[in-house]
Formats: sequence, structure tokens, C-alpha cells
Amino acid sequence: MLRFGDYTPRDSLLHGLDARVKIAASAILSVVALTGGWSGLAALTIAGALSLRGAGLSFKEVLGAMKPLLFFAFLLFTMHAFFHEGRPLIDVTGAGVLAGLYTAWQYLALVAVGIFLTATTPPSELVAGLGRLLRPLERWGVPVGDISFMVAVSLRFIPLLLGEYERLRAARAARGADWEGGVAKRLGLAVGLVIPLLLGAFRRADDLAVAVEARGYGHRAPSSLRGGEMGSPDRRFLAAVASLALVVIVLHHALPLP
Amino acid sequence: MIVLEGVTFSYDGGPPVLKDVDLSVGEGEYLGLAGPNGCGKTTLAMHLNGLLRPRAGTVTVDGLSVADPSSLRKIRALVGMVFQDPDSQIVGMTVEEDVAFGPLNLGLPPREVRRRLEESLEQVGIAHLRRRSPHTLSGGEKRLVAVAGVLAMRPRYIVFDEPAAFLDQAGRALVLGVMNRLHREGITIVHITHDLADLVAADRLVVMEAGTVTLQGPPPEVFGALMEGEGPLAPPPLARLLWGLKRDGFPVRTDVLTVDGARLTIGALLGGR
Amino acid sequence: MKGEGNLRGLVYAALFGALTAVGAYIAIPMPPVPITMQTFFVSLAGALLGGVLGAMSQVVYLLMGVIGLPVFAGGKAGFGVLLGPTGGYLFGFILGAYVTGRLTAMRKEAGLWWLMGAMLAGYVFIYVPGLLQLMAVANLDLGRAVAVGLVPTIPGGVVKIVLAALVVRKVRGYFKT
Repeated sequence: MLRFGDYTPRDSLLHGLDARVKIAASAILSVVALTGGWSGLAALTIAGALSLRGAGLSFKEVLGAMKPLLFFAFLLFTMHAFFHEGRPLIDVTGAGVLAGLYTAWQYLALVAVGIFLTATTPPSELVAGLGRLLRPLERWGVPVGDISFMVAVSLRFIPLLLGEYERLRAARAARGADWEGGVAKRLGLAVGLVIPLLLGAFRRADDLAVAVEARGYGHRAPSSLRGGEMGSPDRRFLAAVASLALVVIVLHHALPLP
Repeated sequence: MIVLEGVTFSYDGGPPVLKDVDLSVGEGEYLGLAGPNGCGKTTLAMHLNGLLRPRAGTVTVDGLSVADPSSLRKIRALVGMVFQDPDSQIVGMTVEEDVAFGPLNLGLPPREVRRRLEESLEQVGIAHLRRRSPHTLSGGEKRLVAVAGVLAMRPRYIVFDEPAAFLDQAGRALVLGVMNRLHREGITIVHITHDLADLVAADRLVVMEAGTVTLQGPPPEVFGALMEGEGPLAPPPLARLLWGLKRDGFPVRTDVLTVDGARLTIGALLGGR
Repeated sequence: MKGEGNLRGLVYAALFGALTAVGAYIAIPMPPVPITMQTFFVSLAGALLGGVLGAMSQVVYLLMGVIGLPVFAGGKAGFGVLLGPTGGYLFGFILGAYVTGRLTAMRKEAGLWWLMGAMLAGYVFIYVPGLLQLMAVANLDLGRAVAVGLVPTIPGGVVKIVLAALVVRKVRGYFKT
């Protein structure tokens, strides 16, 4: 269902941390990846390598989770290397190559942050964590319960939709759907694929609304099953991440490091 | 008791789907509701807990009227519903989250929620699946998750709409077995299906056709009437065999509808021991 | 009955959030902005659900990405993406769905051209924030940003708008019941 870093239950430090802390940490770390320059990326990579054990992950596993996205990273690299300055595809400059490397590394760093998060936290806890993080907004009339509900339902829908899409595509291919030909014909084919997908999805949405209504959904922000409070490991982890971010920002902006 | 009187219903100005339906569901019974596709069974089912309200007529659940908005929450806690497509019913990202959904919506304190969660999982026999993600489950298991989720509301009545649909033999046996067990534990079951073979053990059968109730009674009686062509469905093969033999003049009993019962009565006929 | 309509709306918003995520999955990486079916579903969300629910569906989509699920184009995730070069487009989804929804609602049975116009307007509200953030974060001037963040997506965008408008016409009858 989720494309990378699928959750596997393990007994690691990171697995046991509160989801809210992990979400906040990944937010901070992705900001570091995007604003920390080369030193930021280096710091993240080193920290990541050191944290593998704390997350119960092996290097091979992380690499494996990244594999489907490595192609995209390569694409990012070539795009910058060959299109950076001067004539596209012909002028390859050093600056271009560096820009390409930076962008690709940045992308992989972001992906890695995501892998650490989703590999150590089950989606249900992610949604619950989100709900709890948003709870303070209720004071300003934000319907947090409805939002958590929608996120959870949306997550339920994704594998169902992907499955439907694959089924429809296979069925069309079996009937010899021919994608050659003019624009009009291709549009017709695309429409013929999208419409059944949508109609099936609408039916399911209607049924789900009825079923949820039957189970008494009342727009109340329900208490979560996992009502744990934050402990000292959580606080220490958050402090560590925040310190790392701070160090990186300082290094990057205050010193003439790249 | 659930009482429907003179219930007429149509969707948004379309043709009437239910026409002047009278029906009652007694406490503790196993009621079978059958009819050909399009006869209005599912629409009727959705009236039983106020998901739909009739254009004419009344529906009361244990004295509470579905027309009264303040009673709806109580009614929905009393009458649970398990829909045809379990994927349309499961909202949680894990089994235990989904089963806890109902009690959480009722605003129950966490300890009570946890207790009901444990009990429902046990009752249905899926405690070992509690941390699983719904899309990794089989059709039968998903159906059971839906049942557990409904049970956690502690309903007095449970309506099952085509519970055996989309299931393989193992799944069917699983679900039907759980339904029978729940009935023995005192829960009123309304079993909606177009396949009469699933209803041989019901206390009472109701047959619908084109929005009205055409037959009602204990299964042997209803099957007999169907054999006379009084309804839109054919009885299950075993019943047809016994009735056929009876019509041919053989002294078989037609009120035992299980394979074992049929074996005995036919065996006796063949010069039993 | 009001409560029920509300709930149905929430479920539909969730559905279109999921569709947008699936649309991101069907992504073709091209320099520098990948061609995805996200915007296709953003247009649909607005046109079929109306302004408010359409916008909510995109909020749900963004939230899923923020909590770390890889639903952004390219399998990306995290709050950082919202602050990065492609983040502006993501915020634009919310605006675009809203604008498309409000414009579509202005006609009882919007014709093909009206729909396409409404969706085009929605696209403007996706690309303006997108380009602005791209310029700010990637340090590009307007010319380069447009060349890199808008022009390559135009042919795909036209196809998507036409497709979306056709689909809306075929499918909106369902919403009447």
C-alpha cells in the first residue's frame, strides 16, 4: 500500500517513541534537508547512518526501500547537469553537475527521513498523532475530529483505488486497448478508464458514509486508543533532533560552509 | 421489537421501492428476509435502524420512533448493520481501531471502549487479527471485522445484508457460524439474502417481491407455498426434493430441511431399519 | 437529514484526497516538474464537490503527506516538501480546487467550455503560488521559473483539462441522486 518504508513492527528505540514526536522530528529534519545546504545534507546522512540501529533498520533495508525512487533521483541529477546553463544537453558545466548532485542528494535525504518515519510508525499511529497535534486548533473552531476522520478514510481508500485501477487496466489490456492513434482516440480511452474507476469509488463512498452513519459517527473528536503521554525518551529524542537542526542552521548560515 | 407499519418509500422522487410494508421483528428471533434482486430488501433493511425514513408509515424500534431525531443515536446503538461489501464498512486502519470506532463515537470512557473491544474480538474469534491492516485480510475475515465492529455497539438486533456474498466456502461457513452463535447468545438476527438455502434454520421467513411482502412464516410453510408457485423464488434444492417426493405420493416429512433430516425421512421411506 | 449530508461530504472529500494521492503515483518525471495526474483530480474535486469540499479534499491530501506518507509526487513526503520548490503547487491545489468549485457552481449544468474555463482558472491558482515559491526557494527569476515550472506542463495540462471536463459531464449525474 504505502510505497516506501512499509511499517514492520520491531523492538527498536524509534518504534517505541510517540508518533507526535516522530512527526515533528521529521518535519524539522525535512526543513534541514531543504535549507541546510551541503552541510545540512552531510549532517543528516551521518545522523541517519548512526540512527539505523536505533530504528531497528539495516542499511540494506533502507536502500531497498529507496530503490524504486533512485531512478527519479538520477533523473533529477541529469536534469540539472544537462540543463543547468548554456545549451541544453550539450553544455555540461561543473556548476551544473554540482547542482545535480545536490538536488539528488537532497531528494534522497527527504526520502530517507520519510522511510525512517513510516518504517517505525504504523499508519494508524501517524493519523492519531496528527489528530493530537492538531487538537489545540479546536479552540479556533477547526473540526479536528472530522479532519482526522477524513485522513483515516482517505488512507483506507488509497489501496482500494489502486487495486481498482490495476483491475481496470488489466481488463482493458485484455480486451486489446490500443493506445496508438490520434489524440481524440486516446482521450476516449482515458475517459473510458477513469469513469468506471470514479463511479466505483463513488458507490463505495456512499456505502461507507451509510455504514459510518450507522455506527454513530457524531463529529466528536474521539479519544484515541493510544492515549499515551510523552515520556523522557520522547523528550530527549526531540531535543536531540532540535539540537541537530540548530547546529546545522548555524553552521550553514554563520560560517562560510557550503 | 422492531415494528414497521404501512411503510412506503421511494428514492428522491422515483418509483416506489417499498409499498405499504408491514413487518415485525421479534426479540430473539432469527428472521430471514429473502427476495429476488431489486425487490427492496436492502432498502427495507436500511429502514430498520433509521438510515432511511419512510415517506409514509412508521418504524419503531423498542418503542422508539425513527422519525424522532433524538432517538436515532439510541436506535443505531440497538440495531447494528453489517453491509454487503465489508470494504465499504471498515474505516479503521487496523482491526482494533475499526472495532473500537463505534464505542468511541458513543463517547464511552477509554476503559469501557477497551473492554468492549476485547469482548467483541473474542466473540467473533478474530482477536489474533487485531493489529492487522484491513486490506491484508481475506473476504471472510473482513466480514467478521465488520461484525465485531457492530457488536462493540452492544446491539440487540443485527441486520446482515447478504453476509455470504463475495465469500468462498470457508468464509461463508465462518460467517454463518458466527451468526448462529450470536443468535444462540440472544441477539436478534435479520438475515437478508436472495439464496434461500442459507435460511433453512431461520425461525421465520419473509419473502418480498417488488416492494411488498408476499409470504411470511416458518421456513417449511414458506417453502411449501413457494413450491406451489406462490412466490418469486425457488426453494433450496433439498426442499424441492422433499416436496417433489411428497407430491409424487411418497410419505416424506417436509418440515425438516437439513441434510441429516432429509436423510432420515428418505431413509425411512426406503425401508429403514 | 443535514447531518447525513455532512458526513457524505466528508467521505467524498476523503475520497478525492485519496484520488489526488493516487494521481501523484501515476507520475512521469520530466524536467523539472513531473507530469502527474494530481491536477487532474484537483480539477475534478473542485468541479464535482464544490468549492469548500473540494478544497478540504486537498487539505486532507496535504495532511497525509505532512505526516509522512509518501503521497506527494515522486513518492515524497514530509513537511519539508511543503517548504521546498514544489510546495507552492501543493498549496495551490487547495486554492485551485476552491476556485474551480466556486466557478463551476455558478452554472446549474455547466457546459463543456464553462467547465474548462473554470478548471483553467483553477490552474492559474495552482501555478501562481507554485511559481512564486519556486522562484523564492530555487532562486530563479520569473523568466526561468516560468520556463522550468510552467511551460513544460502546458501540453499535459491542456489534455488534463479537456479530459477532466469530459469526465465531469459524464459523471455528475451520479451526484443528483
